[in-house]
Amino acid sequence: MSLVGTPVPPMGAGLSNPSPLGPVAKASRRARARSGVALILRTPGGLIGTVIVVGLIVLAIFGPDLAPYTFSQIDVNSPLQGPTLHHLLGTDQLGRDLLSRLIYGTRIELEVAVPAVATALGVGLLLGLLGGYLGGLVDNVVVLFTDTCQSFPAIVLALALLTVLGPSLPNLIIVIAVTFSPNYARTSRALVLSVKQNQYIVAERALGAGRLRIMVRHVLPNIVAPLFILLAMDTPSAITTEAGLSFLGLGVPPPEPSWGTILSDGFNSIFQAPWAVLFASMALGIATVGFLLFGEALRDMLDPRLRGVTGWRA
Amino acid sequence: MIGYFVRRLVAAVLVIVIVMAFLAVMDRLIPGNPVTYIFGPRANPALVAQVRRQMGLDVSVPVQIYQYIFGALHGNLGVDFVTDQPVSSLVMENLPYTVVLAFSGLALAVVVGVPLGVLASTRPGGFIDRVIGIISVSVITMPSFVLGLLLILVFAVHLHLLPVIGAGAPGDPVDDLKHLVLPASALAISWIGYLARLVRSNMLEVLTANYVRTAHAFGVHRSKVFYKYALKNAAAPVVAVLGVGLGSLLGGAIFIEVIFDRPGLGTLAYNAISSRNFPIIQGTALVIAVMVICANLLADFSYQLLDSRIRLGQSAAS
Repeated sequence: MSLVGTPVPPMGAGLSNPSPLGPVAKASRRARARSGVALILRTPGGLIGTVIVVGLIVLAIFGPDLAPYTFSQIDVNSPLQGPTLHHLLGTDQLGRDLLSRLIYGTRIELEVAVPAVATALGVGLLLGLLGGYLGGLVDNVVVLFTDTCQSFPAIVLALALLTVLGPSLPNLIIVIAVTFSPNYARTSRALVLSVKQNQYIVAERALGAGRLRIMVRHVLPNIVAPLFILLAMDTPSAITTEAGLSFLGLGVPPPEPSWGTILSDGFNSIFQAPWAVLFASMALGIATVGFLLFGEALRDMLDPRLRGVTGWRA
Repeated sequence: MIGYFVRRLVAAVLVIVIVMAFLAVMDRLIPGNPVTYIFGPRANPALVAQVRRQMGLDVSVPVQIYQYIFGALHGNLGVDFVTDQPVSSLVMENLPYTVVLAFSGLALAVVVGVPLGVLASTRPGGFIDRVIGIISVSVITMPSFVLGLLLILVFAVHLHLLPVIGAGAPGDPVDDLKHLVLPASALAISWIGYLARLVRSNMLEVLTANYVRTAHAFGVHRSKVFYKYALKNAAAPVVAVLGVGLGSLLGGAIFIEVIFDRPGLGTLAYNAISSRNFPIIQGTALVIAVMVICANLLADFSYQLLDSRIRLGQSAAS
């Protein structure tokens, strides 16, 4: 807990430990983590989701080694081809290999989506924690900020900001983080408001703990689980936002192959060669389903009470 | 109750003012000198001065905000750099297309999604429930622009069934409708899945209520219990979701308009991107934001009126 510099626990700190499991929980933490992974992999959805997510990460890291061509290698003699043995998923209008471009694109998608969502979570969490716990004027400012940001559809805000800032990878991350953070601020604020009502917070305050200590040590641990689920669930939204912005020409500049750029190139030649649109949509679909299934499994593991809240299973 | 309405109204107006202020100073975020950014370093100094004035860069920030808000309230959203037309008339010209598209998408989603949800809830875990469940989960995750592309692929490239370019000949309702089918469906499909899921889970909750059991015990016909008594309470949250969802729907409409080459706010903004036509982006963003804020407000109010058990007054204001 470097955030608060971990002061020596004052007298009675042990008593105020909110964990109902006490020291036992600490000893078996590793065992619990292991059974948690087993819990994720046990359901078919969790297994599929994990396989897809891990697969995407592997593609993002080792993509350049795995791709049969580089993303900009041009085969002049065979533009707009369907799938062949040389080009498993066909080629685009310049004769570039679609499979390779999709694989390189995986890295770009994750390079944008993961930092963007993580930044959004960090900023949102901070705002939500401050607003929810401190209340009063701070809270009003936070609520006003989230209301203002959320009155734009995410894509409109992103479009306006990117037109001003100019399209580039860091700008994409910033813009997506800005559009996603109000949602986290809102969610964590609501969570803080409900956690704040608990007896152990009251007890902690009665024992004389400071605001910062209560926020970081007692409120924060109790609200992160649902936020991690949101993180997994929101990664695909960030990916589709990136793809959408790239589709509009506001994403990563060419020739870097974002999935959105591939979609947009494919759209321009959709009547001659439908393959690019089809395969890029499939890549987006698979990534989305993978992260969502993974997120649902994560939710079931972290918070069984929430099971079936957004899931379809009866 | 009235106090809550008034507070919400004041908050909405405040948000609109902040949105306008933000949009007014947005062009100051441009790295370096914005006008050079647009015209290049060798631009005519007179032109540069003129555009600086048009963008409000020759005055201080508060004055710029005041000027923009004052102008916007008087229907002046600035002037298009390229054609020199007032932005407000461009926006008003394109607004109806976007509204028609968004509302047909919304209507389609409700008309198809809500009955599907009720159908699924009649036998939870049954075959129909499972099929609807799988379909909704797979379509919810699809962004509308991908759905639009796939619809083009199937219905225009392969089947040659429906037109995919433009909004149809003006004054020809049948042609307009034909041009509306695919774009509206592309917007509606993921909402159909979402609404079906939402209505199903609400229905399952409502169906356990005592009054439903009583109705059954009194021998009221099954379909009447489902569609009249249960759905009425299960549908209230749908209104709230639709209000909040209009934002994402309008966002999706931008892509749909670009993909289907329809006139509308999305196409207007899209064409402004490449020429860095900021006033147009500002104007479109403002109009869309105001629409979303109003929709949220309406949804909030109607939600309260529909379900008298909900009294958000205290908690929502805190």
